[in-house]
Order: sequence, then C-alpha cells, then structure tokens
Amino acid sequence: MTVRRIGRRAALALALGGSVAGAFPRPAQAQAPRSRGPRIYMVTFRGWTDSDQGFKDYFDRRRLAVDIIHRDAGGANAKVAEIVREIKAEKPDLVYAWGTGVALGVIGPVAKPDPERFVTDIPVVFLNVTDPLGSGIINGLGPTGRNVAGSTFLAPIHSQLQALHSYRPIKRLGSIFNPSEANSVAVINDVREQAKALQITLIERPVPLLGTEPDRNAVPRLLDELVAEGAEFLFMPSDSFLSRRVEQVTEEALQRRLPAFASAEGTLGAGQALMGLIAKYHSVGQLAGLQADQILFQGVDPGSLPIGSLRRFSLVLRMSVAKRLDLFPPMLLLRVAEII
Amino acid sequence: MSLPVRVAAILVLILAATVGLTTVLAANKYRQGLGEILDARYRLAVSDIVATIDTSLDLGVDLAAMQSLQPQLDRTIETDPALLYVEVLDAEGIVLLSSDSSNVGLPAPQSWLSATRNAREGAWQRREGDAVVLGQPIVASFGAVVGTVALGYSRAVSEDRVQDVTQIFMNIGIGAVIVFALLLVPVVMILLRPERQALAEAETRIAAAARGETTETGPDGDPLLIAACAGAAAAFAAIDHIRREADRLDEEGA
Amino acid sequence: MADLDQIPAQASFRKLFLVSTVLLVAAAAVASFLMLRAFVANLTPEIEQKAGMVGRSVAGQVNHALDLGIPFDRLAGMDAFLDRVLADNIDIEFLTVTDPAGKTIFARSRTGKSTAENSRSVTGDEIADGRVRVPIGDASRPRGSVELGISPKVVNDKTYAVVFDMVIVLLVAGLFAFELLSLVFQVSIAAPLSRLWAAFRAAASGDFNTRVAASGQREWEIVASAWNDLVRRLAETWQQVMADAESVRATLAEAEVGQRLGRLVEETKARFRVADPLRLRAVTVSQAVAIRAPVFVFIMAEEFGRSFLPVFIRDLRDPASTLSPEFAVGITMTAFMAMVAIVTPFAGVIVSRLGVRRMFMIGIAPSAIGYLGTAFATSIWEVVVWRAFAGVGYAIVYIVCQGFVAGAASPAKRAQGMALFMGAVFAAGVCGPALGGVIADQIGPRPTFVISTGLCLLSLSLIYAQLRDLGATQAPVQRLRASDFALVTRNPSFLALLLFSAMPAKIALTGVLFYLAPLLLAKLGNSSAEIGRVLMIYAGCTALLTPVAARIADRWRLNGWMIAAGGLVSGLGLVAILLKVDTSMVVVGILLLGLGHAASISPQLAVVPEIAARECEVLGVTAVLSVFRAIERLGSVIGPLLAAFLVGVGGEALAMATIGALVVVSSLAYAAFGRPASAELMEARS
Repeated sequence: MTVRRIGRRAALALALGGSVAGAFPRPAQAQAPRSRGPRIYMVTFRGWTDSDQGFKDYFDRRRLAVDIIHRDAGGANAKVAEIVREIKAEKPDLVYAWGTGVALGVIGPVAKPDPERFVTDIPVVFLNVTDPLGSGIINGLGPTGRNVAGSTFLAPIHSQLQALHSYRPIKRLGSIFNPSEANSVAVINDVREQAKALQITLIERPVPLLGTEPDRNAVPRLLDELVAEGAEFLFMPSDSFLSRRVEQVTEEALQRRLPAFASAEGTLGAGQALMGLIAKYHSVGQLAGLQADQILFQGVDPGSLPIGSLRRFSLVLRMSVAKRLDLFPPMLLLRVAEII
Repeated sequence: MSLPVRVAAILVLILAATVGLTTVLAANKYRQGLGEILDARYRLAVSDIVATIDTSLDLGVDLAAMQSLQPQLDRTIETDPALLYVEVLDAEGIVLLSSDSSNVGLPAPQSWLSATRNAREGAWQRREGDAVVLGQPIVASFGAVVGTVALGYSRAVSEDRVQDVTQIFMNIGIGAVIVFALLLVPVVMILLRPERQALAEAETRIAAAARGETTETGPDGDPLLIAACAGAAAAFAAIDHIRREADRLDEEGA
Repeated sequence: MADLDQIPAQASFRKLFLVSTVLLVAAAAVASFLMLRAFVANLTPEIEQKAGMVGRSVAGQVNHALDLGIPFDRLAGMDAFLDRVLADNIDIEFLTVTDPAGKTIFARSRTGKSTAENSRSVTGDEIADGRVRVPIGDASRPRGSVELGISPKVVNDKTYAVVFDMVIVLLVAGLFAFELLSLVFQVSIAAPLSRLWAAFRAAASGDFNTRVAASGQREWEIVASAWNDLVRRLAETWQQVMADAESVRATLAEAEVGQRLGRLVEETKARFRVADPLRLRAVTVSQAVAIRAPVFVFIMAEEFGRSFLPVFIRDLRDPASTLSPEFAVGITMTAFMAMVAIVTPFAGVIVSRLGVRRMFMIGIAPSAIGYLGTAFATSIWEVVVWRAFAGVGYAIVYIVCQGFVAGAASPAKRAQGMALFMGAVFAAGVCGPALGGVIADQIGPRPTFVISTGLCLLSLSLIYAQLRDLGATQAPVQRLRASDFALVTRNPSFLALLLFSAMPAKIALTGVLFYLAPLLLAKLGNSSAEIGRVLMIYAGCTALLTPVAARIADRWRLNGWMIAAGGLVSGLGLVAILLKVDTSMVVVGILLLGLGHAASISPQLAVVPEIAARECEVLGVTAVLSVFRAIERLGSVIGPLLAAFLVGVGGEALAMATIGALVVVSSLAYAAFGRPASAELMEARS
C-alpha cells in the first residue's frame, strides 16, 4: 500500500500516464461469511424498524461477523413468552430486546427475575424502552449488575429545554398533558424542576378527564388560558392522548400564535409542532450494536455497562411553521438542525 | 593588522553574530507563526467537514452514503495548493470519500487508524516525510468512533515560504553588516588617530634618542616618555664622555 | 596590576568603546527593524487566507438560511452566530453581513460596538487593507456579502515575541561587544603599554635593564621595538665603551690618571644600570582586567540554565518515581547550592597554594563536566550529581576571582578590581537567563547545556591565553575554625542580622527567583525566552541599584533602615502574587525582589564590622565576614527545599507568597530587634 499517499499532483501525473491507481481489491474480510460469528436473537415487537436496521448496520459497517436470527412478536405479549422459550432452548450468545413489551417479557422486572420464565444466563441488550425505570426493568441509570445492558432514548429534559431556549429565550412555558398517564406526569415534574435553572416558569394545564379519557374539547379553552397567562411556547410531552390528537392541538395552538415543542417523535412526526429534540431510531439501534459489540467481542460484562444514552439528539425544525409564525430559527440552531 | 582594523574586525564579527542570531530567531519565529496559522487554517477545514458529517449522521445518513460531501472535499482542496488530499475514512480505515478519487475503497495507512484510536476523540497530527496529516475522529451520536476525516498538506510549500523569508532576513543582515563595516572603519580610524599619532611621535623620539640626538620637547609629549628619553640621552652622553676620556687618555698614553 | 590611569590611550578608547558600541547596537537595531517589517509583511497574507476561509464558511451558512426561505432581514440570532465565529477565531476583528444592495444588515466586532458603515456587494473574494470580502451564494449573482476585518492581534503577538527576542539579542550583543573591546583594549593596548611605560619609568630613573617583548608590526610594537633598539644599542655601546675604558686603564702608566677614569666609570655605573644585552629582562605586569572576560563567559554558562532548568528537571522526572516533582526540582537546585556552601571555605585555602590561574582552570572543569552531564542526563539523580559538579566549579571560580581582586596591593585597586569583577558577574546575570531562554526556545534545553559547556571551554581558553603570568593570590587566607563560629554567633546583633535579613534574602533568591518563578511562569504559559526576560529584571535591578543604594546608605547612615526596608519591599512584592496569579504579578514580585535586595545587600556587609566590632578585633574583619557568608549560604541551601515543600502544600503561587510573608515578618523582626541603635553605631564609627 506504499503506492498511496503520493499526493495530488503525482496522482494526476500517474493518471495522465495511463496507469490508474485504485484497482486494488477490497480486503477479503469484507466478504467474510456471517455464520461463523456469535449468534444474536433479535426480538422485535411490531416488525423491522430503523432501530433494528441501525443495530444490524453497526456490525456490517465494522465487518464484524455475527449470525442474526430475527423473531417478531407481532404485537402480542404471548408471542414474546414463546420466543423466550425458543431462546432458552437455542442458547444464542446475545438477545436484542426492542421496546418495553419485549424487554419486560425477556428480562423480567428487576424485582423478581424468575430464571424459569426469563432469560438470565444470556446477555440481553434492550432499547427503545420509553421509561425503563418506570416500567421496572432497571432500578437506576448506573450499571445493572445483571446480565443486562440497555439504553434510554428520550433526550434529557434539560437538553430539550436548552434547545427551546436557544430558539427563543422565553420566560413562560405553557404545557398541556394527560394527567392520567404516569409517564406524562413524570415528564412534566421533570420539566418544572429543570425549567427553574433557566428561569422559566412552567404553566401547567392538565386536560380534564371525562371518565378515564381526557376531554379533547377542553383543549381550545386550555390553550386560551395559556396564552392569557403569557405562555410563549407550548411544551407537549409524548403521552398517548397528545400523540393521537397532535394535529388538532398544534393547529389550535398555531391559530393562537403559540409555537409547539414536541418532546418525542410521537408528537413531532405528525401535526404542526415547530420543533423537537429527538433520538434517531437508527442511532439508537447503533448504540445497542455498540453495547453488543462490547459484550461479544471485547469481553465486557453486560452488568458493568451503565444505561446508555445518545450523546447528540436530532434537532428537528419545521420551516413551514416558522414562516407562518414569522419566527425564524437562529443561525446557530439552523446549522445543526434537520429541516422538515 | 593595525589597531583600527583589528577593532573594526572584532566589532563587525560581533555584529555579524548578532545579526545572524537575530536572523535565526526571526526565521524560527516565522516558521512557528506560519505553522500555527496554517495549522489553524487546516484544522478549520477539517472541523468544518466533521461538522457537516455530524449533522448528516444525526439525520440518520450513513457515513458510507454521504456522497454529498464530495463537492465540499473538492472545494477544500482547491483553496490551497499546499493541500495534498482530504479523505473520509470509516471506522476500519477504509477510504469512503477522497479528494483523490483513486484512493476510494483502499485502506488508509494503519498508522492513521491507530492515531484515531489513541487520540480517543481528539484531533491528531502526524508527520509523514514531507507531509503533515491532520486527523479528526468522527464520533457518532451513540458515542462510538465511526470514522476519521484526514487532511494531508505538504510542508514543502510552507518551507519554501520560510526559506524565502529567511533569505530576506539574511539579505537585510548582510546589508547591515556591510554598511556598518564601511561606517566603522573610518570612525575607528578617526577616533584612534590621536593615539596612533602619539605612538608615532613616541617612536620618532625614541629613535632619535637611540641615535643620541635630543629632540626639542613638544608641549603635548608624555612626561614619562620625555623623562625616559632624557634619561637615555643622559646615559648616551655619559658613555660618550667616558669614551672621549678613554680616547684622550689613550692618545696621551701613546 | 595594570596602572590603567597611567596609560595615555585610556580616554580615546573610552570614546571608541562608546561610539562603536552605540554604532553596533544601532546597526543591529536597524537590521532588526527591517526584519520585523519583512516578518509582518510575510505573515499577514496567511492570516488573510484563513480569514477568507472563515468568511466563506459564514457566507455558506447565511446562504443555507436564505435557501430555506428565510428573508435576509428576518435572519435570527445573527449576533450570537457572528459572536461565536469571533470567539472561535481570534484573528478576526469584526464581521459584517451586507445585503445585495450593499446595506449593512448585521455587524459585530470584537470590541462589542458594531461598525455600521455600508459596504458594497462583491462577486468574488477580495482582500485589501486587512479586510476580506466574500460573496454570499453564487458568485455571479451574489445575495450579499460577508466582510471580515483582520485583527492585528495575532500578527502583533507574534511580532512582540520577536521584538523581545531581538532586544535581548541587542542587549547581549552590546554587553558582549563591550566585554570583548575591553579584552582587546587590555590585550592589545593596556598591557603592552603599561609594560612599555614601566620600562620608561625605569629608564627615567636610569634603569635600562628592561626591554619590552614585541614581535609584530602593531603601533605599540613599533614603539616597543624602537625602545628595545635603544636599550640594546645603549647596552652594546656601554659594554664596548666599558671594555675600552678598562683596557685603556690597564695600559696607563700613571695610577692617578687610571683612578680618575675608574672613578668616572664607577660614577656612571652608579647613575645608570645597563645590563649585558643578552641578559636584558622583560618586564611583567599583572592584569586584573584580564579576569573580567573569562568571568563574564563563565558566569554566563551558569546563568544560561536559569529560565528553563527547573522545568527541565521537572519534566525529566520518572512519572513512576515516588519522589514528588517539586522535591525533584528542589533537590537538584539544593545540590548546587550545598556544594557552593561546602566548597567555598576550602577553595580559598587551595587558591593560596595553587595560584589563581591554575585554580581558575581547575574550577572550570567540574562546571563544564556538570553542564555536559546535565545535557545528557536521563534521570533526576544524574542531574543532582551533575548540578553538584557545577556547584563545585562555580564556588571555586568565584572564590578564585574574589581572592584575586582582594589580593591587590592598595585599597583603591582592590575596589577597582572588585568593581570589574562584580561588573562581569552582573552583566552575565542580566544577559545569561534571557539569552539562555531564547536559545533553549529555539534548540531545546539539552543543546543549550552543551552550549554552556562550550562557554566554559571559551572561558578556559581566555584564562589560558590571558592570565599567563599570574602568581598566587596574596590575599591572606585563614581557615575558619568552629570556635570562630561559636564566638561570632554569640553576638545577638550579628545573629539577628543573619537570621532576620541575610538568610531570608538568600531563601527568597534561591527559593523564589531560581525555583518558583521559572516554574510558575512556565505554568502560566510563558516560553523559556519570556521566563528569561522576567528573571533578567532581578539582575538588572541589583546591577543598577546596588551601588546607588550603598552610597545612600553610607552617606545618610541608613544601613539598618535600608536592610529592614529592603527586606520588607522584597517580601511584599512576593506576597502580592496573592492579588492575582498572572505573569504581570510575577514580574512585579521579581522587580521588588531585585529592588529590595539591591537596597539591603551592601548595607548588610557594611554593618557587620560595626555590630561585631569586638569579634572583628579578635578574629579580623575578613574572618567575621567569612563566618557571615558561610551561615548566609545555608539560606541558599534551604531555599529550594522550602519552596519545594510549600509547592507540595499549596502550589507555586502560595509558596511564593509564603516565602514573601516569611521575609516580611523577619524584616519586621529585624527592624524591631536587630537594627543597631544609632548611639551604638556612632560609637562603633568613632
């Protein structure tokens, strides 16, 4: 390979001379057969997603030979238990557990991991679990101490508020959320705490419940109240109510010239949110790949790995909304943002 | 060598040494300054490319699929004749994109890969013969190093600049020494003339005394010299007296 | 010793020294100035190119925003964006963004105030007058332009560094020229002329036995030859006439006539002493001036390492070693000081046996070996050994020179010799750290130690060539006995002077100036050259002000006050580092240290005979002063170790302040208890 590094001019001279460099074959390991590597059971909940592709891509990019066996639960928890039995029989080298349902079914709750029902003797890497602490899969963000490694995928609240603050420095932040979803309440509590550091006041408007369901007709009134109290932005946690009603909520907010900030992909993808700070599922899958790499190829004990998190999240800006509000993103955000 | 020439020669030598040292100092500072500026410039180019890659990576574009970077690499290399190549390597050191398309698909030198590993996530720099390679690891959002941006530039171009500037410094120095020497010799001559005259006068006086002659005492003669010459004259006179006396007695006796 | 004041060429040579040194410095200054201009002219385009890159990057991002449909005047956060660019690129002074019409929309500058002057749109990169203009978007149809002002700061900073280096080189060149001219004057003029004049003086009193060695065709040699001719002719004639007279006398019959001739011959022989031409002796004169240049060069060798030695030692330390880096440095510096303290009392005794020239040459050897060893040392302990060698050499050479000048016959000549000697030491102290730092910056510390070795050898050759005819020192040397120490240290005033003034001063010198200051300055990001420049301030202060302070103290009888005040000033200067830990405060500390020491050092020695009058009567002033010096040197030994300990406790700045506080407290104690009462002083004087 000493022919390389000949510099631009020299290479040009070579090319003119009719001899073309670059005809070297790619290294042989690029085509190395897969089957000789460690076996990984990838268990997904509802089909092949970007995360799963990210996980697989991780090994492909690095030309690490792994033998991947994919099993999909088809959205059924019962199917998960079945796959667990198969795993126990097949004894692969590692299990990939996508989402809260699969993770709970494979690893079991942190309190009582029954070795009969759950996988305890094979390393498990979980991902895409919205609230691993709340769902009882782990009891802290440090090393699990078990045969389990995993990652969170929500951007930390302080990063979200920082992104929002960088768009426009604000004093008052409005929020509507479903008070019956523990997830949502936890996020709002977190926002209230973190907002203090930025000297932002959080104005909270839980959506009143009609029986167990939040009353969607109350949304316009709540938005009016927020505007009246001087809210400059609307913070939308990623609860199932808001995710379902995101078009209505963001359109109503826009009519009141209230820009919306989406806390996760659920409230960002559809609707008219101005911005959001989210994790790319492909990157989340690659993070799981990195953890699997450490466990399988570098001999790292899965229990010693802290719960992973992405270092950078994707800032997504919706330019059409910015134009409608005449509220253009600052240059420093524009440089790193994904424009939709 | 006469005294003025000796004094002038010593001073010229000191000045030459001074100017020489100054030239070396200035040239080294120039080399250092130029190096820092070039380094900052090329680092800026590298970090610009890395920033673009980071954004694309966060958007989910795979490093291997960033063909859109090619124009930026080509633009970068066109800005500066000293630049040899700009390349994007994957985690295994295979060239994904390069300003020199013949390199694409080839493995980069192993040393680059180990430099990226050793640098952890910081930038690195390597000297490869006449070239300097600047590298910056690309860190994906999930925390792993997924590749490297490497930029190579030739030191020959900047060395040429340093050579040229050193030459200018040397010319200035040589000019200064020559002008100084031309000025100095007459100055030393003039300043030392009284002393040389005094010494010449002393020589005349002594030579006269040696011939037994007495010269009339000038007002500015050195008193000690005059006394010495007078002493010598007295000694010659005394000896002469003895000789004459001896001669007279000899004749008388004969 | 040369009777310089009796040599006629003195006055015009002084003029020559002055004129030629000024001319030399002026020529070098003009050359330096022209080089600086070339330096700046050749560096600026590179910075402009980099500014162009920054400009294109800014233009690209603005273009991206415009591409997204954001109108020019609605671009948000431009100030923060431009400020970030300014923060990331220290070489850019201001940034403006103009619309296609040339109207300035955004402007930010480093000073905060924005320059709102309108500009025009450009279709390509333009560089002129320290400004760079870059079009936004497609160059053929620009959507505006970005203009950058290049900050002179980067070029200026680099230029200042060069200017400082050049000034140091100029200063050293000036001092060097002066030293070398002195040497030339001594060798070519003063020494031969004084021999010639000695011969003249002898001749004036009728002694024609001396001839002056001269072989060349230089001006004075022509005179000398003429003189030698005269002496030879006189001797030949004398011999011939005397022989004739003798033979005439022998042939004379009349005894009376023969006796008259004989009487005449005897009378003449009594008036004039003329020797056999073959046995004329050459006159010899000793030369105090000749010692100046070798001393200058030798001390320079040691001062070279001043700015970078501590850092060099610290970096040499094996990281695995249990020895802390502070103590590693402290021990090596103490090794030097301890050897000086130990060797000094013995060196004097040996000098009296072996003679000045031989001892000087013997003294250079361990120093040369020490520097060479340091240059190739691979561990701390090696450096400790080599520094000890250097310490032995330093002590020997110092004592040799001191003994040599102190051995002069008359007090006036003693003072003159001492001034010459101390002048060389101070000149080397001023040039050495700065020049050494500059050189170490260029070629690294190890080669600089090799240069130190080279300087030792140069000093050796100067001594070998110039001090050919030096005899043993005539200074009375006596060995110090333990009982001397016991006797002198029983004197409370003497002890107070030592403990409250002399020793703290030495601790500050070796602990702060030699140890802490270089390390702290290096930590603050200064290069060896810059450290050398700061350390030079101390030597400059003491060199310039010590004689002034001595005169003031003597004239107004302020010795006691000067000692206390000097200590106080030097201590407070060091404490001041607590206000702000930066280079300027270190400079202040070293300046005040120099001022303080300049004020107190001479008075310290001056009061010794007064406060220890009784002891001086018993032992002699020299012995008492030797005891004083020997104990004072303990302070030099303690200094680096104390500093090392303090650095370990609280870092360099705190260590410096602590030593400063120590000096302040002891100075106050001296002012309160140690200062000799005026009455006592008057009594001692009368």
